[in-house]
Amino acid sequence: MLVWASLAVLGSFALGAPPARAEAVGTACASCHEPAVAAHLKGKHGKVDCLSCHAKADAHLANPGPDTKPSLPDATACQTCHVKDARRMNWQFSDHAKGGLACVQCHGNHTPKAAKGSETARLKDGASQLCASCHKDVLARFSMPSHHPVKEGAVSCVGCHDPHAGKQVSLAGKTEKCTQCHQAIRGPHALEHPPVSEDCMGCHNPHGSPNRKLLVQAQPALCLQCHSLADIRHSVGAAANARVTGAALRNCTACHGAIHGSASDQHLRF
Amino acid sequence: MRIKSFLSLLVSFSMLVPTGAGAVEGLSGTLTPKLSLFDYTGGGKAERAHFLQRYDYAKSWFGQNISGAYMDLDLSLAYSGLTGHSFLLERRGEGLSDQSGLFRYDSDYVGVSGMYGHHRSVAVGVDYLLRPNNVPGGTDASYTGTGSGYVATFNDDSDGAFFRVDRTNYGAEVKVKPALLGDMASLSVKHDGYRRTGNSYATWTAGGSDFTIGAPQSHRWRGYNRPIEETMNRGSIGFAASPMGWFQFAYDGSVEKFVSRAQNFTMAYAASRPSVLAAGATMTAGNRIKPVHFVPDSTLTTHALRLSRTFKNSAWAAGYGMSVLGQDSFTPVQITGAYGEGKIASKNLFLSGKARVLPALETEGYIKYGNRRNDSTFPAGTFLTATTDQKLDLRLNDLKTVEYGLSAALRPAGSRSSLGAGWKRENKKRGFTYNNSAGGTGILPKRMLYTEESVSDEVSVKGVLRPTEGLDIRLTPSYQWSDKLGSPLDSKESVNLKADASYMTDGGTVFAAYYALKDKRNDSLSFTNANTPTGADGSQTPQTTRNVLNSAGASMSVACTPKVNSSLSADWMQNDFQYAYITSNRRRYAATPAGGIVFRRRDGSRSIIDTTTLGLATDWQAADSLKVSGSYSLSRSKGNVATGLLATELGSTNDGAVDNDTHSLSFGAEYGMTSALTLSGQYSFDHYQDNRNAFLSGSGHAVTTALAYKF
Repeated sequence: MLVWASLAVLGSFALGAPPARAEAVGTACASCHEPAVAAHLKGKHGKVDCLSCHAKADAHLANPGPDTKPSLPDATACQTCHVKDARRMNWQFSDHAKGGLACVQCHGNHTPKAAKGSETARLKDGASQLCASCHKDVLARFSMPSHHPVKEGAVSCVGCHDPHAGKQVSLAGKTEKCTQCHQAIRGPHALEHPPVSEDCMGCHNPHGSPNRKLLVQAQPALCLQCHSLADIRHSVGAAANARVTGAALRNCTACHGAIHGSASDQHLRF
Repeated sequence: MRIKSFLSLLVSFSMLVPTGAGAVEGLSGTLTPKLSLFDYTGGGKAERAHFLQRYDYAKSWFGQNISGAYMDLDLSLAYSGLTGHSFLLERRGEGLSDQSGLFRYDSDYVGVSGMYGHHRSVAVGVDYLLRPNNVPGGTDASYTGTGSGYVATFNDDSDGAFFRVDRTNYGAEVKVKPALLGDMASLSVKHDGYRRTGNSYATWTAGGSDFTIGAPQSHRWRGYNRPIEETMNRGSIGFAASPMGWFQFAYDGSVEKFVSRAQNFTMAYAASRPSVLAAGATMTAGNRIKPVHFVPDSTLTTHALRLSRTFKNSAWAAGYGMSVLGQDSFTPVQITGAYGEGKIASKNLFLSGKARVLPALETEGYIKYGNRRNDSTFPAGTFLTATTDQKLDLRLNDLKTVEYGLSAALRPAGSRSSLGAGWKRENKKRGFTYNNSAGGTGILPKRMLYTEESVSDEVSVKGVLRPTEGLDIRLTPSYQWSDKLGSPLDSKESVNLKADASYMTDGGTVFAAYYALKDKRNDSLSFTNANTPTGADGSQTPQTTRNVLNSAGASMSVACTPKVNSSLSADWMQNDFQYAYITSNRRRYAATPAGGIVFRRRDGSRSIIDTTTLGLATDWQAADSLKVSGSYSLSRSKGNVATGLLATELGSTNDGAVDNDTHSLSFGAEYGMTSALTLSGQYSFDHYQDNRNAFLSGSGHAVTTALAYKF
C-alpha cells in the first residue's frame, strides 16, 4: 500500500501541474469578501469560480447588498462536478435528500464546516458534531450509561451511517454494518441463535441504552419475551411451577454466554 | 502524583519553544502540547477498572489508571499549493490509550490518505465487577435441584486479572481521480484493518455430564479470563465511471481476513483448576477438547455493483451485492465431526426510481431483495444433527427478504415546504430445519414464538413546513401492521410519530424541540401445550408484549450578549415494556407424547425506565484575548426492570431496578498570549452515582493545560 501511495504522489508531481488556477477566480468578489476568497483559493474548490456555485449573482454584482445575496448551491449544482463520485451517486434516494437537505448544510465549500452550538462540543469527532447538531435525540442517547464511545472519540457517526445514501439503496445486510467492526461475534457459528443472525438491533440499540451492553431491554425481559423458562432447569429443585430465583433471572447470559452463537453447544452455554 | 506532575509540566513547557518553523505561504498549522493530570476515587477496584473510565481510559506515564499524569501533542499541519497540491496531517492524543491521526494528500489527479486510531476500553472490566458471586443474589446456595446446579455455585477462574481491550485501527487509500482517467472514471485502492488485544471476563456453563464424580454440579458454572488477540485486514478496490455522462457505474469489492489467535481455549483449563482437583472432580478427554467461546478465523469476500441514471425529470438506481463469509479455522470437536465448511452467503439487490410527474409532484418506488443462506456443513457427525436429542434446536437455513414501497411528495413551486405520503411492505421468509430426533423429542413450531414468515405493511406521512424564514417543522407519523408475525420482536401493530421543530431568530438564537413515539403491540403468538398421553395439541399460552418508547427534548442556543453564548438542552426518554413471564414444566424440545408439555403464564411484568439528560454550556469572550467557558451535563436513568413475581425474585439482587446519575462539570479558559500562542486550561469533574450497585459509584477529576502554537 505504501508503494502504491508513494507512486501515486510521485506520479502526480511527475504529471506536472494541472491547469493553472484561474488567478481571476473571485476577483470581483474579493473586493468585499476577501477572507472567504482567500480561504477558497487554498481549498479544494480553489480553481472553481465563485459564480459556478453561487447562482443568480449578476444582480448582486450590479448592486451589492444583502437583498441581492446570491443563492447557495443546491445538491444538483454540486453534482454537476461530483457526478463521478461513487459515494454520492445515490444521493437522490438518501434520507437526507428526501428531507430537503442540501450539501452546503453539512459541507463548507470554502473551508470544512464546523458544528455550532456548545452542546455538540461534548463530541470529540467533528463529523459527529455536525450530525448531533440536528439529531439531538440520538445525541442524548450517547449520554446513557451504556453507549457506543462516540463522545469519547473512538467511533464516529459516519463510521456506521452513510449520510449520502439510505437503507433503500444499501447493499449491506442488517448485521453487516455491525460486523464490519465486530468480527469476533459474526461466526460463522455451527449453532446460531437465529434472531441474532437476522438483525443485531433486535436486542441492541447501537446509540445508547440505560441497560448494560446496549440492550434494548434489560435482562430477563429481553429474553423472556421470546423464551419460556423450563422449570426442569431453572426453578428451585427443578420442580414444575417452583419459583425461579433472582440468581437465574438476573442475567441469562451469565450461563448462556455464547448468546451470539456457539461452535458446538445447542444451549449456547460455551 | 503531584510531584511527578510538576516534572511533567516542566517537560511540557520545554516543548513550547517555537521551532523556527515560520509561516510559509500555503503552509499553516497548530502545534498543541498538552499536559493532563487525573485522579479517580471509588467506582470499582483500583487495580482493575473504574466505571467512569469504561470508554475513556486514561493511562498515566506511571502505569496507573486511577491517578496520574500524561503529556501529549495535538498537531495539525496543512499545506495548500496554488498548483493544486494540498497536504494535511493531523494528530489528536489523550495519552497512550487514546490517540488518532490522519494524513491526506490531494492533487487534481490523485488523492492519498491514511489514518490510525488507538483506543482502550475497560467496559469489559465493569462486567467483572458484576460477576454472579460478587453481587447480592448472584448465586443461589439454596438451590438443591437434582440433575442441575447451574445457579448454585459460581467459580471464578479469572485470578484477579485486569480486563481491558486495546483496539488499534489503521488504513490507507489511494484514489486516482477523474482528471487522470479521461474525466470519466475514478479508481481507489484501500487497505484498512485493526488489531484488538487484551482480555475480557467471560462466563460459561459446562454440560450436566462434562464433569464427573467429586460433586460435579458445583463445578459447572464458571467465569474466566478470556484472552483476546485478533487482527482484521481488509483490501478494497473501488471503481466508478460515468461514460459520456450517460449513466453512473460503480463497483466495490473487498477481501477481509479476520484472525483470532486466542481461540484455542477449551474446557481442559477448568479440569486443572485447584478447586476442581481438590474436589476430585474429573473430566473426560472428550469433554476436555470442547472449545469455550471459540472465535473462528474467517474470510469475507464482497462484491457490489451499482448503476444510476438521472434524466431531466426522473432518476433510477439499481444495485447488486453479494458476500461470502467463510470459516477458516475449526475446533477439535468440529474436525472430529467432519464439519469442514462454515459458510454464510448473502445476496442483496435493489431497484429505485423517482420521477417528477408534475412540476410540484414527485413520486418514488423501490424494491429490495435480500437472501442470507447458511451453506455450512450440515449435519456434522454427532455434535450437529437434527436426529439426535440436544444436538440442534433450530437451524436457520436461509432468510429471504423482499421489501417494496411507493411514495409521493408534493413540493409546490417556490415553496420550501413539502407534504409526502408513502407505503411499504416487507416480507421475510425463513427456511428452518427443526430437530426431530429418533426418540420423539425435538422442537416443534407450535412450541416456539419464532415463525417461518413475517409480513408487514407500513403507511406514513411526512410533512416538512417552512412557513417563514428560520422556522422548520417536520412531522412524520406512521402506522405499521403485520399480517404474519415472525417473532415477538416484530409488531402486530405499531404507531409511530416523529415531530421536531426549530426556529432561528434574526439574531442567531436557535430554539429546537422534538418528540418521538413508538407504540408497538404484539399479542398473536402463543406456546401450545402437548397433552399426555396422546401428544395432541392442548391449550395455548399467548405472549403479549407492548413496548412504548417516548422521547422528547428541547434546546436553546442563544447569544446572551455580543460576548456571551449559551446553550441549554434537556431530553427525556422513556422505555415502557410489558410482557408475560412464561415457564414450562419441561424443556420445549423434550416434550414427547408420553411426557407432554405444559406452558404456564406465571405473571405479567412491566419495565419502565426513564432517562433524563440536561446540558448547559456557556462561552464568554471576557476580553479580546481571553475566552472563558463552562459546562454542566447530567444523565439520570431510573426505573424498574420488572414488576410482580419477577420483581419479587429480582428484589434479592441488584438487578431489579436501574437508578443512576452521571454529572459532568467543566470550566475552561483560553488566553491568547500573542497572535501565535494560545494558552488554555480546563478542569473537569465527573461523578457517577449508582444507587443499585453502590460499588460502581465514584468520581474523577482531570486538569488539562495546553499551549497552542499557530503558524
